[in-house]
Amino acid sequence: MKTPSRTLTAALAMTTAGPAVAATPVAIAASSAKVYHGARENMQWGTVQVTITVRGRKVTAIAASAPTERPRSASINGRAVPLLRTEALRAQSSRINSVSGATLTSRAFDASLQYALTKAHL
Amino acid sequence: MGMPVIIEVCDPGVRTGTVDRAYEWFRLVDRIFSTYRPESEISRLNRGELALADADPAVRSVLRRCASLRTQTAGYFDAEACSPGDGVDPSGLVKGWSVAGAARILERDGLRNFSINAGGDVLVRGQAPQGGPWRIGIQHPLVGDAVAAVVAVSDLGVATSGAYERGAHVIDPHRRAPPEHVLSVTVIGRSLPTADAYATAAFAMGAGAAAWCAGLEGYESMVITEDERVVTTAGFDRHRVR
Repeated sequence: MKTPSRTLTAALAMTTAGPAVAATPVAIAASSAKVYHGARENMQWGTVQVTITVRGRKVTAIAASAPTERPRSASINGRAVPLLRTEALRAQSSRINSVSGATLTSRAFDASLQYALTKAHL
Repeated sequence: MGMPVIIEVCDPGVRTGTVDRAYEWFRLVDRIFSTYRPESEISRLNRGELALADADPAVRSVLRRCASLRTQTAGYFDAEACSPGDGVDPSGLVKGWSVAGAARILERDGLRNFSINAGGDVLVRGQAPQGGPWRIGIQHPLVGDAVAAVVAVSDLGVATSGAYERGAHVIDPHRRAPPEHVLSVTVIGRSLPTADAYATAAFAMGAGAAAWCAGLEGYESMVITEDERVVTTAGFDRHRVR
């Protein structure tokens, strides 16, 4: 049986809310589409659930549903598309106009944003 | 709010009064919404000294939007979660919302090419000074004077939530504890306040952040995990130049 892609494994392991839930193993069906539901997490504001759809040996959709939202599918025309791409964290050097960060204080701004902005002025 | 605001305008012939009006707007927003000001409407509301019906319409509008986002994010964005009994703190939405308001002020005066950065929330319109889209760096969570990625964007908002700055904190409203496993979340989309709320909510989710972000329609994301991986949506990668 083909090992699920790292993307799928990561998505299953990362439940959408709250403490980690034991992931339901994905059984890859040979033919018709099967839908697998992650365990429901009961949250204060409703339940959140991750649903995956498997067609043949490919995942065709992963959806996370919130209580009042219709499930948001992340597949295109039945083709499995990598939803998420992972790479190593690197410090990039590049010309920039501005920096988005979780900077909340003026002091933090002095330490980081100012440096980045003055370095980046084109 | 003690929040640095940088406005950069590239249109020729900008009137000085226009940018002044944008900064005056930020000061006005602070006077109404700052939880650090005892006389602000939010503070008076939380002490029961001001009825919601008598508050500035902007207060009702912001709180309604907070309530809607709380539902959308399964409670991970929650303006009432900071401290039980302390009332509301919509600051997580107000920052991006105030930037959007400032952008409308500039646009009303005919400006088409500018960037606004308020405390790390960025909104850009039109062309950057060097021509073409604005190049926005995403703060590196571990190296203070570095960026982890660069995106080229126009007419979009970029918001980042994280806990790497001393004194900054986000609380997971469900566990009532700081989130784990994620260093930062960046969200890009057409509405900066919505991107800001989504980034805040996703960050609060901890390990579930990237999976939840993958399902957001119209918003792209980058999650940096505590084991130093960068997890991006395909749409986010399309904006990347680094």
